[in-house]
Amino acid sequence: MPSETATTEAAAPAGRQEPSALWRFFANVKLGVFWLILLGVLSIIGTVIPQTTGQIETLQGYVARIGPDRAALYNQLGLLDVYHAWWFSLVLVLMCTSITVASFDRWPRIYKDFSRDEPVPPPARFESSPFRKKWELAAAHGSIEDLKGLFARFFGAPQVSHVGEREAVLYSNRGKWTRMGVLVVHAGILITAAGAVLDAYGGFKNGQMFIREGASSRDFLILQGVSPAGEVLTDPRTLPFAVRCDDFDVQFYADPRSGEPTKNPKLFRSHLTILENGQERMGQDIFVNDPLRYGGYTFYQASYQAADPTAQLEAVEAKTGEVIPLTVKLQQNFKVVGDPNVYVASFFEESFTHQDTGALGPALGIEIQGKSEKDGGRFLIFQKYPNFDRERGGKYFFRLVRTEQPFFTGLQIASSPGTPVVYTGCFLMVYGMLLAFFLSHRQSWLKVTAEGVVFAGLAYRHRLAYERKARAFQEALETQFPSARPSKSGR
Amino acid sequence: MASKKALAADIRPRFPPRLFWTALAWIAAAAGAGFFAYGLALPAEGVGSARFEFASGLLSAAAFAYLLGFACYLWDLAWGKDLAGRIASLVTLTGASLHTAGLLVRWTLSGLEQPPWTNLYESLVYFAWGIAVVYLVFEWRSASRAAGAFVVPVALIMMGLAAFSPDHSKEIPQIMPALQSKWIKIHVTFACIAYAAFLSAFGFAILFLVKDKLPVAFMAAVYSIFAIVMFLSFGFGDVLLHAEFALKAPTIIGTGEMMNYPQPVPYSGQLFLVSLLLYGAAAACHFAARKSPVAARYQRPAFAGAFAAHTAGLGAAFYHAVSTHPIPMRPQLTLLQWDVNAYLLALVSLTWLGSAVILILDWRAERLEATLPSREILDDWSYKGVLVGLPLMTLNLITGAIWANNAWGSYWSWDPKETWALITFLVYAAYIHARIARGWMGRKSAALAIAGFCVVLFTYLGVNLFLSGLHSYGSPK
Repeated sequence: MPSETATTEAAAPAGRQEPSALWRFFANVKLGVFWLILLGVLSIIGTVIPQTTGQIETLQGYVARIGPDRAALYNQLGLLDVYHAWWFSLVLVLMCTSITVASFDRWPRIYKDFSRDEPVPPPARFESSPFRKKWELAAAHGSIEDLKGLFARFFGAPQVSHVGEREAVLYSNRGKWTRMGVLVVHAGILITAAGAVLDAYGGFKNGQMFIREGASSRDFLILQGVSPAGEVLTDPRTLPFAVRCDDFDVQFYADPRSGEPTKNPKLFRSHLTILENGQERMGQDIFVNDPLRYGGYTFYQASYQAADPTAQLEAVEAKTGEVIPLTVKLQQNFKVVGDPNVYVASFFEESFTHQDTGALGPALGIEIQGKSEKDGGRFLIFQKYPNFDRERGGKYFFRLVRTEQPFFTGLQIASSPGTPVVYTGCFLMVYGMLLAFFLSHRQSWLKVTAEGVVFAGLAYRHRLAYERKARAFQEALETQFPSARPSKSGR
Repeated sequence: MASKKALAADIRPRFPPRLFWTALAWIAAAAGAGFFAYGLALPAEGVGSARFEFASGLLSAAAFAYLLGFACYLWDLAWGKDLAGRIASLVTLTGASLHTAGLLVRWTLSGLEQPPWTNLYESLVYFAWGIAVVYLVFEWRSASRAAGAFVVPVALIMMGLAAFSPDHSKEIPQIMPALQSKWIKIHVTFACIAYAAFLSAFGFAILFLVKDKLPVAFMAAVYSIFAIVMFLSFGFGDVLLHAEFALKAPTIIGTGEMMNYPQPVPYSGQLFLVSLLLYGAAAACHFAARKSPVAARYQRPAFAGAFAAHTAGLGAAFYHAVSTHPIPMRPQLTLLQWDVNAYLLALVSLTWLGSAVILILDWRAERLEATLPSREILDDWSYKGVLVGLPLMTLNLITGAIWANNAWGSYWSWDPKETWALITFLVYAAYIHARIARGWMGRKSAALAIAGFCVVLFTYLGVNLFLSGLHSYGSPK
């Protein structure tokens, strides 16, 4: 429909003030299309120029490549971070203003169409309907129940209005809510935008926390970006409760051919427990796609770091067989009571392989300080072969009981109070589109008089589909009432 | 309105028309179910298991069916053979049925947890499936085969590109933790169907222009300019400056080493340069014809020459892609297959397909125009394609945002793929506004649907080719 007339018609209903020029400016559909295209073009700029917010490019990179002056200029203009530039936000705000003003502007007309209920329409409605058809049918009024059943099969149960003794109008008014579709879509967009603003000002998304397995923490940092000098800017915060990492696990895919582990991660998992006032509140496994939510915060599995491995050893007195348990860390000195030597756990291998013997399993390399290799100052112990070290012939020999690889789990912490708002907006957008695109407001009438029957219908959208339906109804009517003769004055 | 009756006859479903063809259609559909059941009975353990090979075989058979279907659609279009049209529909339906079975069998290989659309190879196969299925639904609902000769070859080309992918990318991918989400199933599916719907809108927009008697010479001139832009963008000017066309070779199969030696394809660059110049000449002839009518006579030969050179260059590139080559600077690693930049090949192939369509139109526009439904109906179908595509595109954006929020704690990261998906949404939103509120119909609307599909192409293929970001796991880097 031509919108110029529609806009003026709707904008100046009786008893209302003439809308201002500014109002008409924002209510114009042309402006809406302009915002859509402008937003698209500005978005393209941000995909063509590498942005400093992604991991792809940094401001330092730009300084090195195009010089400090030009880098500073581009940065000032917002070209290096388009989506957070003031002018980008301005376009978004103006677009939302357009949506709001246009919706209010259209409301009176939409409401009028929505609420128009005409069980007995004015004669003009019959004259103007493109799907009008008239039959001469002598016993029409007597068969009103049959006509009602037929009508209901095509257009739903009709509302019947009796006009006088010998005339009745069957009326169906379906899908009037689809008139609201366009408003629902636009409300959805505004609500989604409101949720995003709520998140931007009332929440954060890049909190970072590293917790060692078995430890708990309340402190985290919010990453705020990188300063021009290259420093990482952070904002330290404290949670109102503590998070304990009970366990962390990383698994890698195996090569499908050899079965050997590859470097492709298959799974990251942390088991977290929330501690409030010293009490365990909840515990849950988190995965990359499955975060933990508690107290308005969300904890995502983001990364991990390996801590130094530790080994459980047993020092065995060679003669008496007395066993002394020890826990050692890599590169740390340790001593055994009654032994003057100072030992260092120098290296650890998960799967030690020797060219003569093949795979020997987990192995720990130990050095004795101040002794050369020749004097037996370096030796290996194996988990699989507990008495291997006895052969060395020292006062004590060592057994490797087990090793542990502790991890720090890397959590990302976010607080997004706008989430329910955003999801509501998204739902409305899709629901509104279904209303607006696939359904239609259809009004159908069948006037039954003593002389005959007249059909009229109106479809607000998808007229071809409605025409098919109206035609099918008309054919069915002629089949059911073979005496019905299409009237010449109809079509 | 005398045309009303004709209009009603046009929109009444004619397909499937008779019991015989209906029965065959059901048999074709049942064949897919049968093959799927057979596939489940095969052992699935290990690399290159019998079930894996069977799934690949089904997909190859589907590609072959699309080739046959395309040929029959073309036959129907060019000579008006109704029998050819019926066979085309049947063969394409059989292809889609085998395609479905192949995808489902492949899905069972990963224990159902990982859908068969997690890397480029799988995405090409899946999106080709979406195109075939959406096309068949449109054909059935619209009872018109006119778009078959234009849409089915797109599915065919995508299946062909999938077939040309290196063997290691055809294996079941080991996907990273961020991709292991229930959302991958629904998010990619929405994109797949939305793109297929936009392709339909595009196809019907072209058919509308044919019915509307837009001169083919004008279409050819506009398309020539488009082809030049495509050549310059995917060759980054190498074609123009050095007459070189490079297929990137980032990994070397067998060693798994990452390398990046763009390898000029012998002859392709020279042929593409000739093609590019002739496209330029064809466009120039058309626009010069306003001043000197003689020029118009040279447009057709120039365009045909450009197409011939394009075809030869593409042939050389495909030959290069499937053969083995010694690797420069690494003489010890000779005779290994090179990874092919499938996105690049996809864009060159699709550009070629467009030229082929223009030539078919030039050859058979009058016959096609006579068999097409009315302008109003074609316009309406194109619009319906957008009406189906836009909500799906919205759902694609929304599910992507929900997924990102679950995995990374942020709905939206302005990653290039995300941003281009938004741009696609904006373009079609503009289309809807122009149409509903400004009353744009016909040519203007068709032009927007065509421009919109160019954006879709860039979002699907171009972003991974030219821009990097979070979605780059799909790209051949």
